[in-house]
Amino acid sequence: MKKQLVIIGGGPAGLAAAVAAYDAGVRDMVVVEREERAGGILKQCIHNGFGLTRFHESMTGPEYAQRFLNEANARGIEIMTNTFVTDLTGDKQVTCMNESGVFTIKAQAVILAMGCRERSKGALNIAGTRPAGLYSAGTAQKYVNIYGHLPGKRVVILGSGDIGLIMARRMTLEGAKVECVCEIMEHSSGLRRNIAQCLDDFGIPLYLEHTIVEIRGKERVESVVIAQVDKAKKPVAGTEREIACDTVLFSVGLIPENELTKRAGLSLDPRTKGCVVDGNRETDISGIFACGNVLHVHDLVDFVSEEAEVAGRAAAEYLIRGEGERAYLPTVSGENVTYVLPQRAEQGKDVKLYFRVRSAFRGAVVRVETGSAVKTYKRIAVAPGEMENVTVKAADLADAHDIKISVVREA
Amino acid sequence: MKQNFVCIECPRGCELTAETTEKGVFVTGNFCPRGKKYAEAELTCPRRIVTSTVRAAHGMIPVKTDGEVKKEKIFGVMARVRALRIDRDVKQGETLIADIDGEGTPLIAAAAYRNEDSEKQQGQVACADENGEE
Repeated sequence: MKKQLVIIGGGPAGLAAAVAAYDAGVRDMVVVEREERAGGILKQCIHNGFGLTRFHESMTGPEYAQRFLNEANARGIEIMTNTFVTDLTGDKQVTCMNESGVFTIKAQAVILAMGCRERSKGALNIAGTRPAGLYSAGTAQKYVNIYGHLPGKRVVILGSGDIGLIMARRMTLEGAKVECVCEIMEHSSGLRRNIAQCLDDFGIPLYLEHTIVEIRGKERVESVVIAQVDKAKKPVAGTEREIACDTVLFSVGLIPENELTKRAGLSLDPRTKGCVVDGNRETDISGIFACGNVLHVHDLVDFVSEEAEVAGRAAAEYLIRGEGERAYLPTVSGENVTYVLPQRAEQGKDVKLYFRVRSAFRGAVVRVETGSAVKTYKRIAVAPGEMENVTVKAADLADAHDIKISVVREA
Repeated sequence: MKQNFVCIECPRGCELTAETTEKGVFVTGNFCPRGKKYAEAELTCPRRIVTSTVRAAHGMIPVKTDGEVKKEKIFGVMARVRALRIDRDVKQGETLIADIDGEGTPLIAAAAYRNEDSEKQQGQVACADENGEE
């Protein structure tokens, strides 16, 4: 099979990329989706708050996904569901598997939109037994919202990522008692509004600088031992406390799902754990693009859609006009910045740079250094869990060798 | 009297301070007018949109209140949501309960549901019935 454009993943990124590519003139394309229905993780994110940035209305996850699915359907874009991509080569051969067997699609361009997966409990080295009742927060979310099971009645949540916070409220609404949320850092990695509306609304305590040091129970979880941690994140002796529970949820981070990316031989950035890309979201193999959570983990789907549209339009441009000669500038993470995306910016073009800060504080100044020019932008507050962005004008790049972003405290 | 709130109206999450004086309520820390409105509502009558799922013959249907309900009514709303059973086709946005909170707020479907083409999910549903929380 041959296709001009293959999009791997039919979640919010894949759907938005497909629609944007279609609108930019691509017709011969397919979206490959491993699940029975497109929509990705939004299908199980039944809470509201999606779309506020992009559509200025508060939608639930299924509503947000449906909006893009409707757009794709209205254009007659082919979505191949129940189909798993098993391999991707650097020359854009996409090997797929579904009920009809194994087959290869030869593509002229590929958009990677595989999303991310949850970091598991196994990555944490927690002492104790391995009873039933341990779930990643997203797995529990799938059980409750898709299958209609409540995984437990007395819950302790480790990690204050947004999924953990959302599940604290969800389990409470369904009649479970959420004892507490433990967060090893001195700040939550979730959105402030989620701490307010998911924990504070229901009187669920958030213990910062706390972790689970032991899980107890034989067949089923019976309790956990939590403890305070010191600056080096080591448990402080004497602060241990046992909390009875039958369920532990882990909300301890998301990792871009880049197995196919590695097989294709694309370069990964150790900080974002996704591809190295330019402003078009094009990887270091021309004609292969990446967007959404497979590129870097986003906190808002609104930005996923926006990024996917950039990739979709760029893929169309590549297919219709071909690859042009380009000069690039690297982007550099300065003081208090964990990463900047894209990793390289095209000379002569405006570029919107996304970045994350290392620590949370109020009264921040974003410094953008391009050669001798320095521009500053004020932010009321910054936090690692909230991605920031700033647009750099092409004119400012004329005599620059790189673009450096730092975030400093307001003087 | 001063009270602090985190605004939940958008992902910005403004940290609001509401000062109640004899002259009225003064809100600071808000980036936009919605923050002021939110803090004032928190002081008088806090309201929330409730989202949940309703059990259908072959799976779960995501639902939401079409508008905010009083915070104190959330668990009452949830009891009615949990008691509901659907065994027919549902359109996205369709009203499932006309008045979920006793004050006229409808409960609507957040996704379409088709009763007949969900047959392949029956394996899952058998499992859900076995371990369901009813």
